[in-house]
Amino acid sequence: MNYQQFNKEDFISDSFFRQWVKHPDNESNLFWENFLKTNPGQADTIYQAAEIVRNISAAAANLSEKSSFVEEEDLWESIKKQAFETESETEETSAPNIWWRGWSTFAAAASVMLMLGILGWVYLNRRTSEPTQVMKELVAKTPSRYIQEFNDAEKPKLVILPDGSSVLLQKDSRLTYARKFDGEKREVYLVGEAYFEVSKNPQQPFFVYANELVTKVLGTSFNIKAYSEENDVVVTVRTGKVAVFHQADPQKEEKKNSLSLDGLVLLPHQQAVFARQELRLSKTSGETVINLPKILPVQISTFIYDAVPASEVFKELSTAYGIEIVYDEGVLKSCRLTADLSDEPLSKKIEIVCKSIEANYDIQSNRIVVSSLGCQ
Amino acid sequence: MDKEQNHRDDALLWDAFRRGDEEAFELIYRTHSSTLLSYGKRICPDHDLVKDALQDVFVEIWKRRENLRDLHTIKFYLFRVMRNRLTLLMQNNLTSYGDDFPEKNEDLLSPSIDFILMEQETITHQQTKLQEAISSLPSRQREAIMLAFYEDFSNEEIAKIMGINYQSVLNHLNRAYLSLRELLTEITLLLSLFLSYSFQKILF
Repeated sequence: MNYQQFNKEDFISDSFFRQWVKHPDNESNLFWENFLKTNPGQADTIYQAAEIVRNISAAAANLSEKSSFVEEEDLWESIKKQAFETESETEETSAPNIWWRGWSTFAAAASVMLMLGILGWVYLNRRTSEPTQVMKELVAKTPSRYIQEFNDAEKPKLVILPDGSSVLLQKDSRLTYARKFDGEKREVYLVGEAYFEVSKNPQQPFFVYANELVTKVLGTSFNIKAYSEENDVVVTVRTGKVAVFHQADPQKEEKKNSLSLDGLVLLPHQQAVFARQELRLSKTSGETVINLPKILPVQISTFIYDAVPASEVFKELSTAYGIEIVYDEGVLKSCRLTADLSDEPLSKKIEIVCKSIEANYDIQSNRIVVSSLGCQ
Repeated sequence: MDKEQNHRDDALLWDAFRRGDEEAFELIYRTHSSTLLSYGKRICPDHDLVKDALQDVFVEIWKRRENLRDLHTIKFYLFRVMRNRLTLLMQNNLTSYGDDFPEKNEDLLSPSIDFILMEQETITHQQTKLQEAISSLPSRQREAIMLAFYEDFSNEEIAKIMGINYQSVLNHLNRAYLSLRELLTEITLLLSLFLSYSFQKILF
């Protein structure tokens, strides 16, 4: 390259120059420092060209539209289905229509199970038995905007979301959510079944994407059953109110963006069933029609207390959410609680209980530690 | 992270993927899906088609993984096949998008009295103006700008991704810069000239 003759636009168009401005390394620093020493007359041009490179880069970065992780998750589900399923069949099908259309129609075969640790992806794979050391390292190096929780145990797994909402994840179910709930919406992606208690924030609606169905809530508790191989998606409301609509709903955007609940609205003990084959969404109500697939302890408890000893409250919370709660029974002996906690997520319940008995608490990954000086 | 290390990681990942490691496949998807989607959406107004193309690309590379050769970088490879696939889908799609998509705000940005006020404007405002100006470029120029300044591809890589020769990439970038300069005046392009300390440290 004849850099001596270069003008500003030549530098801007030069990849080695751009690379140095944006990602300088030893090699390029050495080259350009030398070049400037021998060609001091080009310093001004280079200085300005570098500035322009950085300004255009900043503008380009702002222009690039971020795709939603819901879109990426949906696509990944269909890619897995396509890639791994056609493979397990024999390779004989050389049909011309190998290019599969309709990314939104997905079902069947969750062939890769995965879970995410706090530091990175840790994969449990059905085919390859153990992640290799190399893959473990590569996975740990890759920063992710999202957290994935997978439950392969019989016992429901408690997940506490960044906004304090609690989720009880059932067996063979996976939940994906952003590390931080910034932005206008709180969005989670569910494959399988989970019971949600969403902390109230009408300003930042909460969305669950599960198969083809979108469930919008402002703060309440409900159950969603959406296994990818099952024919129905079932949403059951326990408290409060939720709205349900199809992902392909033409008015989806308006329904999502409004601060009210539009669409098929469900009240407590109502249920929406989406028949995936017939693309039909229907609502049933009344105690008798409710068939909660798996009744969880958390759905039986009323969480309404009238002068109940605090230790009993903690015992009930511990059973309901399947989490260990550490407290000193002797110290809490004289503490009693009167409160209605029926419509709060776990973190809020703990906060309210501890506030009223003047105790401190710490929510850790697998247990909650309560420290108190006792009550008079 | 340094470039050498990135290259080595890329090679390790690609090897694992070619041996049929599903975790490697997923990691490749998770690392590149978002940027490929936004690239696709920038060059094709039909977003469903972009998703179809992305799905096709990943299903296809999985099926043919054993026949895939060693590669320069995974990102470059994926951009290249993504663009090919998308171009093909757009051609097959009965809707004709024409050679160039309708340009946005073509005459919205003609130099105007704003120009006089420029110096008093905030840097953020000038950044916005610069963004608008980039959006108003003809689509091929805009694509080259995004690949060069956002995705940080080299000119050789851009040529192969866009399926044009090296000189055309230079022409696109040069012309893009000249139209930006015409639309905005030098001042905006150099908007933070007096605010950049870091660069001076590198330079002197």
